[in-house]
Amino acid sequence: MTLEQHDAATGAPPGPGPAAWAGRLRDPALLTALPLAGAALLPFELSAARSGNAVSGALLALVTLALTLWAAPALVARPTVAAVWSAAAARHRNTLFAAYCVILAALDHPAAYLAALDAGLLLAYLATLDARTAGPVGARQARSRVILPAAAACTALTLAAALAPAGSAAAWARLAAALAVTCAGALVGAALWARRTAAKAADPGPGAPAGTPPGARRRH
Amino acid sequence: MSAPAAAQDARPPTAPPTAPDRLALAPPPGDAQRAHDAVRRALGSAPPYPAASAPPAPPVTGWRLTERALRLGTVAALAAAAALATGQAWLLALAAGPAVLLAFGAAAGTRPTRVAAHASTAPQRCFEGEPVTARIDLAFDGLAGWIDPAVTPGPGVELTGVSVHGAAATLEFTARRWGRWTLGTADLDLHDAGGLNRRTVRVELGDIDVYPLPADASLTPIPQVLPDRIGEHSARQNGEGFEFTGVRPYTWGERQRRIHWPSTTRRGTIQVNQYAAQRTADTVVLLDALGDVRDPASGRSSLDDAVRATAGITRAYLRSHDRVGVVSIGGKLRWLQPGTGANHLYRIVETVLEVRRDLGYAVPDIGRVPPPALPRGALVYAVTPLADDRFLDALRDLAERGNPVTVIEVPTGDPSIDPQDPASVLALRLWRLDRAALRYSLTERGIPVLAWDGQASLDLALAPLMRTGVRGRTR
Repeated sequence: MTLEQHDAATGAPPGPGPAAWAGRLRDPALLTALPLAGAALLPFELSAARSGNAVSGALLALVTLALTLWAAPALVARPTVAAVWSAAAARHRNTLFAAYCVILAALDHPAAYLAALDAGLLLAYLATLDARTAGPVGARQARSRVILPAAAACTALTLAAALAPAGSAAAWARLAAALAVTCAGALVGAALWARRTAAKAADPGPGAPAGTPPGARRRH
Repeated sequence: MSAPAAAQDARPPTAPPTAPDRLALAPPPGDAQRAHDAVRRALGSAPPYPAASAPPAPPVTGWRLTERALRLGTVAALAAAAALATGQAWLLALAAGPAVLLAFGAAAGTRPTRVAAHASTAPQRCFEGEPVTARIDLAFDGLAGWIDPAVTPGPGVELTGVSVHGAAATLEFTARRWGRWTLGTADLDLHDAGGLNRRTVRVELGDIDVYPLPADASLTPIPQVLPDRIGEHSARQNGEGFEFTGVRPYTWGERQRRIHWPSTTRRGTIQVNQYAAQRTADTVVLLDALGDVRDPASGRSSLDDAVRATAGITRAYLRSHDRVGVVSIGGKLRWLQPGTGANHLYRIVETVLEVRRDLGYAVPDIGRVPPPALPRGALVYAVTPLADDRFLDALRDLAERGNPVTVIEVPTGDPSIDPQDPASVLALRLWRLDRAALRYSLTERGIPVLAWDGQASLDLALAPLMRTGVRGRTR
């Protein structure tokens, strides 16, 4: 079999042709990243529109769109050592995109629903990247019934605590605090349970051969 | 840690593959796509084929963070820092999710502390186009979440498949070019169970011998004078063979069953059948390894074609139970004195396997070849692109010894020129005339020049020699 020249980085067909772009546009990570970038950009765009600074808003939107199309698709290539900064940036462009979205979201004060959208989409984007690029570890995480729900619950809990009025002494505030403590305890317990199960799996017992093959893991 | 490749199968291949043998059943499209993706990932940015012959830079030793850990840690730290810098507490929610994923990854188990790898290759000798499998067994303690191989193939092989099952990685190669090659280097990334740390283990995959596919040949021209040994060729001398050459008067003591009754009745005296002697032939193939000329149009290598022609001629004569030897003239003079038998083909091929590494500019001295390696009267096939004057000098020396010499000219192609440039067109014409003059001068010296195109059967080139025996120079 004679191998063809392909874009080994994203798994897309070769070259800058329509097939390559179609492959990139079908990437699940990009489908998650586009609404994430939009949600992170929206508060700044609204502020720019209110202040009549449409040029900077349009410019930032263009930059965001270009960065999203370039950096958001999952980088499935094997990691290599990059000698120059441009190669290192290309190597870590998924991380750059996620960090850019965080910075973009921090530029303005979003509404509560936009903050929730940002947090949820960012977690979904990171989980999608893990499932596509982290091999069996990412696949197990995607199948797990504990890890992603725990991360989502922790995010929601933190968001609720951050958006709750701190000065209020109403009953719902105390209820929220109690729920936060309960959820935090549940998360710590889940982590400890996972650790104990992993330690049991790591002990091969007397006489067992060295080396535990990947794939023989327990499910969280 | 790396381990040397183990010798598992050091036997020569049983027979050169034929075209139907090389046909493989096509796997289902989904499996083929997955295999293709795995090969692309393992090759990384390396060119698929031909690969660079230089080994890759040594990997980073010790455990280090994976891309996943860097990504999750960066997002979590940046979101927390932004929350502190801007005073927006909700930004901590962006840090919470990655932090939980990191925590679960860290709690997944202990990473291996001792890692060892061992590679084995089978078979270690094969023909061009045949598959070669390298298996890498990893031994480690603790838990591993993922074994991610990267491969830098050697220059003569192509990586066609990568699979990881348990603690073993299997790499499928296809030998693309004859020669003595290293299979390459494999860097295996061993990820911990949480996917947060990885460690690279380098393994050398060892060397293989790739034999050239012999050119198709079945004709075995013979010299006019054959040595006095029983063989399968009909000599000019009379003897106890099977080929009828005439009748002659009976002499006392001859067998009655040889009486030719029609002639006896016609002449009135007893006449007996006369047969040609059956003799063997000594053949020596002189391989021009002084250079490797690449055809500008097709990219074919003259050395590849010369070695395939050598293997084809050798196989044809060995099938006739003749003795065949080889002398390669290149940076290092190599020879193998004539011998017979099926295994002699492999001895001859192994003699010329390393000529590609020895391309040099040393002036050959045909006088250094010992007489047993170049018997007197042996038919000499000189397989050459006729591109080096030093080889022509060796041919003339050989012809003056009295050996019948035949030149098999392997193709080199015309130099590429600009057809719009009149000077280039004239230069090309002059070059062709010079080549024609060279062939004419060899023919005038009694050395026939037979052109072989590198693809068709060698029989087409050798057929003119079948009309009469090849004549050597008379002293």
